Amino acid sequence: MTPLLAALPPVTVQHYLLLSGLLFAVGLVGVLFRRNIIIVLMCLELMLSAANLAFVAFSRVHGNLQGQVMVFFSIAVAAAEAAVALSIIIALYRARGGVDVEDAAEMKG
Amino acid sequence: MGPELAPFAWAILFAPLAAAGVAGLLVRRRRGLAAAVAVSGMAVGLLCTLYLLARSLGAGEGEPTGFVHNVDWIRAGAFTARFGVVADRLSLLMALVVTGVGTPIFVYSIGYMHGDEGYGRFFACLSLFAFSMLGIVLSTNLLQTFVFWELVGLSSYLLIGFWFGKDSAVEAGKKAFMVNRVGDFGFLTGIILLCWSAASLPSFAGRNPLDFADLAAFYRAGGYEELAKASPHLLGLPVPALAALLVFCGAVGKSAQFPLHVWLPDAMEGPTPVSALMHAATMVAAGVYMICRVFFLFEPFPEALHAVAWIGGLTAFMAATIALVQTDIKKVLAYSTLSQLGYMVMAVGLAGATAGMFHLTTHAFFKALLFLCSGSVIHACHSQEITEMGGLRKAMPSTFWTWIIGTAALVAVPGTAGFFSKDEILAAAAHGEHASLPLLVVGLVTAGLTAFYMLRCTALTFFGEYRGHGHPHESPAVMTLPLWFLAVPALLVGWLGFPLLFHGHPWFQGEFGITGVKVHEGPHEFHLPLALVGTAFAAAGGILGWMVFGARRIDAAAWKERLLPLHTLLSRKYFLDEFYLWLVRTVQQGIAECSDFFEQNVLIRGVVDGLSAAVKASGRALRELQTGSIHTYVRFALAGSVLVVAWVILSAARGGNG
Repeated sequence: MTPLLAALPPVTVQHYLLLSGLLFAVGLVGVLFRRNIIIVLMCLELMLSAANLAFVAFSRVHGNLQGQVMVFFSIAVAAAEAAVALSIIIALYRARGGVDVEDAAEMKG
Repeated sequence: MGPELAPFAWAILFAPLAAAGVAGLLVRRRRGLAAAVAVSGMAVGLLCTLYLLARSLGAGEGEPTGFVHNVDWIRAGAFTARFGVVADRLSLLMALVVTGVGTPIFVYSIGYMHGDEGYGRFFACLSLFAFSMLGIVLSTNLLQTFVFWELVGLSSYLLIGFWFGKDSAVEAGKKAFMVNRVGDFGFLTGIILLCWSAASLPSFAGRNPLDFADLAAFYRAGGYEELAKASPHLLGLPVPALAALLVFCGAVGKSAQFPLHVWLPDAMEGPTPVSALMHAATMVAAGVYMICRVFFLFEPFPEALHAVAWIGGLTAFMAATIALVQTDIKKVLAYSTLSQLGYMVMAVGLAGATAGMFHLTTHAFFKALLFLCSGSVIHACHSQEITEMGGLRKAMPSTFWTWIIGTAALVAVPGTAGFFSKDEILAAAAHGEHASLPLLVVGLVTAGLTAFYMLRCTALTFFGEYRGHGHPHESPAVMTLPLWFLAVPALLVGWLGFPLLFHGHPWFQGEFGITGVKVHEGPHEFHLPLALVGTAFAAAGGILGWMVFGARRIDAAAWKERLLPLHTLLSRKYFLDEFYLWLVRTVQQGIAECSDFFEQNVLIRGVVDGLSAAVKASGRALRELQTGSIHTYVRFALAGSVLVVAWVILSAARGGNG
């Protein structure tokens, strides 16, 4: 195991940030183009996780805990947000029998 | 005589106001009481005036003949306006005219207005007028004068339009009010100009720029030269001369001088006692009184005095010619009043305050008498047209004889009041400091015209056969007694100013006012040749008038045909009313329509509508952004974030480069 691992290039902060950026981009594309509100919500979570990953990576680079503390906050807020969002989705489903975001356009000016 | 007598002066002012309040607010249902209150308010004023006048005339050598009592009214920073009473010979003489003529007219009104619906209102308005008029008379400063000036205008409006059911009365009231606004605009501008320029002088410090006494003292000390030097010339005139002429504008409006005289004949729509009190004896004389009060403003500027004299002379002549052809008895008297007011203004311009005030005093008595006589005649005939009268001599002996006395005084029959005052004006035109031959001719010709139209009016009203309806009868005693009461001063008051009695004029000579009204030094001379010439002119006019309308030796109708264009010109009052109508209807209306067009099309359609259209269009455009779709919002949020990030990166890069 060890020689194999040694043969690979070392994992640097750039790799983490690249992964974080990819995750964020995937999430963003999902939010922009998917119509199912549950998928949209999941993509939002994905974007949050991307941000969290970047935080942790920077925490590691700088050698302090500030980034990790921020991630705990972020996860707590995300949990609350998920609870609220899911209840809205249930209410939406009950009201119109579907979860397509394009259908909920009553606010058109 | 000092300020310890101030309560009497305040009583003159406030007794009529109290009467107006009581008559107007408290006893509206009890007509007799309203009249009694009004008459007693006026009588209190008369008694106080007589007492103060006696004290002033009885003042010994070196003792002041007048006093001023002021209270602070408005204080704002450096500006102080006072409210006060001045009791000097000038103001007391005028107060005597107002209360002395007013009291009999109030009594007369009891009979004249008997049975009228607005009986209580009439006496309330009349008392309000007396208060306002006495406010002008007793005023100690320009601001107070102006306030009461407007109050007089208001009471005049109320009384001209007293029978407000009649359209012509309403129109006449409005006309009087608006024409007076023109003059008052000049008056107020003059006051502001004078106070502003005086108050800005360092040498004026410590004085009140509104106060007559302070201003007069400043002018006497040569302040007008400083004033003229300190300020730039406006309209080619030094500022103090311009201020004097602007203040004169107020007098032109109130005293109905050319070209603002047009309201006075129409004002005859009011009840006859109103015509007698306000539009003959007192209110219209307020302008003359005011010029006398501020005569110090005019004194240093002979050109200003010249302008005043010519305005007066022009008015005197023009009004007398119009009076020749009027057929309404009150209109004849109205134009006669205009003419005599012109005489007074001319006198002030020629000779100063004394001659003008003298004629004002005598005129007040005999013209009020003539108006009350005409009221008595109208009361009897129920018509104002002299063509529907005639032969009233026998039916109304009291009215007839008092009318004859009033006419004699107006025509200036030697010995009557008008003779002395008119003679003094002619003497000023012939021999005075600013003697002017053209104005002397105007004065003499006007005297002839006066005699002509008065004898025409007398002949048509009281002689010949009665041409009206019904049977005219003499008015009740409550109306004829005031006539006799006024006839006495109409005959005699002139003797007070007769130069050969009392060592010159004790009343019109000496220290005449606290504002130092200029008087002639030494006893005024009596010019016998001039008096004879003046009387000859009057006699010629009178005889001609009698030949045409009394004895009928000359055919009036034929002459009317022969002079038809002239007759039309006169009976249409020189087309001045038409000219003013044209001015308002065509010129002013044209300007108004242009402004209206500009407002409707440029301001409203362009600016106002344009702004609202722009707001609406931008709202409509922006509303497209609100799609209701979450995806759109996310895209906007994304675009915003990209912009922010781009901006941060770019500015960081530029900062790094810099």
